[in-house]
Amino acid sequence: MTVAARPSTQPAAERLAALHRGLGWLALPAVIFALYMGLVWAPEERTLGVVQRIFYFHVGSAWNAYLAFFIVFVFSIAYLVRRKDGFDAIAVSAAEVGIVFTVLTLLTGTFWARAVWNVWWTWEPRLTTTVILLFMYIAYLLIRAAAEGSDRRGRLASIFGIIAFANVPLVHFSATWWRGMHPTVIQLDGPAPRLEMDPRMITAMMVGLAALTVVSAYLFVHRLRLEQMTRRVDALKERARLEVEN
Amino acid sequence: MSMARVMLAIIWKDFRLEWRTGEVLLTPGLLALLLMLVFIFALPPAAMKAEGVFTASMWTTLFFAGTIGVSRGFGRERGDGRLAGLLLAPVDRSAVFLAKAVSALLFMAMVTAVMMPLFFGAFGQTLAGPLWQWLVMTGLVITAYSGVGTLVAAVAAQLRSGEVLYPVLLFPLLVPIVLAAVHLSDALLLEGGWAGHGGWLQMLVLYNVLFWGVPYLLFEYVVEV
Repeated sequence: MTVAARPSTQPAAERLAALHRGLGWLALPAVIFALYMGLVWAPEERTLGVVQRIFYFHVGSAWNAYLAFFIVFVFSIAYLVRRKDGFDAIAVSAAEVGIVFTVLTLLTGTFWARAVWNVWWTWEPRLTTTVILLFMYIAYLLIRAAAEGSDRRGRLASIFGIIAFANVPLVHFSATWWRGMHPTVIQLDGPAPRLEMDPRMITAMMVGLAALTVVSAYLFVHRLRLEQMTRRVDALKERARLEVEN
Repeated sequence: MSMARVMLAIIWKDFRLEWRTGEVLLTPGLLALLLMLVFIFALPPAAMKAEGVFTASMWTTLFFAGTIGVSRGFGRERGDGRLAGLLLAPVDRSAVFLAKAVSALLFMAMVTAVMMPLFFGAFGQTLAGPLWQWLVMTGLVITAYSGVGTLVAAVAAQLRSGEVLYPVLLFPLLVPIVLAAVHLSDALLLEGGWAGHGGWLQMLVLYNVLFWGVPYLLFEYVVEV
């Protein structure tokens, strides 16, 4: 662990703080704009009606959940190889953001399903995969909570972060063969994948996606700073303890 | 020392310990029997013959009873610096993983060999499909289970209250094999063969490759002292 309050770490921390502030100020108008695009500007869907507008935020949430877990995967590998404490801090921050967006995905999906399929929940492949994803990353956090020592915590969590992500495609395929009814927006049967939607809907979806990505980046940097501060305090306490003992 | 000899030495050690204490085979075996009884008591008699109930009860029982035995592989090495002792041996650490996973597989094979016929009898089921397909399917399922179970056991053994966490860590990862096991078993019982369900078999094979291959590669990191 890097010893805290070393002068060279200060500029990096200040840059992160500036990024944090910047993302916060960017997130606010981005979300307002995305709400306008999704709720007002985009045309009403012919059969599903107003409920379809959940979609603009549902897709963005799902994308950010998967992005966050991909970051956990990448930085888990990086941590195992390099053993830099910062990589582990990134992984845990991404995992928590990923869990938040997974829950958002499940909630928005549930509201949509209640209105359109007339059920709160159905064992549809993407729903099944998402809920298993949630359980896997809760397990990831449980490992972190139950491991003693920062080195062991980072190492065991990284192992799990890697295998959990590797397991996602298998969960998805098994759930697909098991049962399937999620609306597919991306059509893969033609010569090239295409989106079966009104172009304005695609624009609104992309805006929603971008806005939620800014929000998720903001939350991620927020959590990362918190994690770095926690580790600095821990390091300071450790140093104080050693000085008292000597 | 060659890898095979290292593995044999560890497996032999575990089985000798097991022979003398009886905790790994007896307790999960007993739990499996009790779970079977619980299912029989809990299910209405008419439901016992309903489609899918037999395979669901049987695999649930095996997966749950299995957690005790498979987690013991590394659970046994907890405390008194036993894991450190094992890892200090000047041998390839991947051999330690493979040995523990093979031990887990042997244990699962024994429990399955006892419980499956009992389940068939208790639920009055007869196997419609060819026996070899049933055996291959069961083999793939318990091999996959042993691989992932051993990896999670190695992680859990290094955690505070790891025994309690073990099933919570394991079951989310098990989802693909739970689905494959019940689906293929139902296909074999109801359709008399696995023709048309090749995707599930491929998935089981892929899962086996993933959860024997990745731990094999990562094991140096899983059990650092």
